[in-house]
Amino acid sequence: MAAAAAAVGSVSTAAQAAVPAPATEVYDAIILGAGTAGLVAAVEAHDQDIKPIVLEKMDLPAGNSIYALGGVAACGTRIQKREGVTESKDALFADMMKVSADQADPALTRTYVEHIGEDVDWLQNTIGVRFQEVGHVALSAFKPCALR
Amino acid sequence: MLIRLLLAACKKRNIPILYHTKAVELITDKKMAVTGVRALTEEGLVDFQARGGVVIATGGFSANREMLCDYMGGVMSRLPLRGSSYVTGESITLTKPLLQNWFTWTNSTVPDRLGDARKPC
Repeated sequence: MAAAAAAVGSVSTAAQAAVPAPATEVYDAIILGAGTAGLVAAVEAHDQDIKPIVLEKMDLPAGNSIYALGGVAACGTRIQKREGVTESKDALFADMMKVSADQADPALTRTYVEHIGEDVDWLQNTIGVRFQEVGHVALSAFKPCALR
Repeated sequence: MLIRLLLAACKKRNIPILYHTKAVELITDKKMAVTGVRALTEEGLVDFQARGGVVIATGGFSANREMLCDYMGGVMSRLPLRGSSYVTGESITLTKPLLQNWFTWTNSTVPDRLGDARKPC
């Protein structure tokens, strides 16, 4: 019994001595998740002279982004302007709230509709995404871009 | 396709992406402002200190039945899983010790300048 206690004691002492403090790395921005949101954040941070690192728990971007079918609800994009589509931000906002049965966060939805036009243009200009057609969604009145 | 293009854009900019790296704790200072992330890597724990801020871009919790019951309830918590089975809301859980009023989704944006992301909302 005493021997066992001594063994346990020595084991725990050895274990404590064997655990060094975690290594430290310093960046400007730590980004969790290598999906659309995280990678966009990383690219934009870099382009604003902010040094980012992306941490991903899986061995590839395994979140919902890779399941997306390739459409994005947007207004005010260059493509829509070119095609003469003039849906307003307010109309898109109203539709998104309606589609979510008013469960969406109004502040987030407002931020989305205010910026999604320039963001889609950014995906084209900076990332090289090619949007091929402007489509319609049956549930709502706005005309989103379809990405292929 | 979108992810492939984004990964290419990151590679072109030499942005480090560490896979098999799981955030296990948000590091905070004595005022409870988030200053970094402790993560489990294949080599063990590493503390990633953030001069500007931490962006949680890990999506929601659609593959976490318990969180769906807690936060959505009703029929939403019984829907069959659509999409990834790895969207488990673990990083959202990391913010819980900071108390709810220390965290809003507005933290999940790239700061316009260094330091902004540290301000509690």
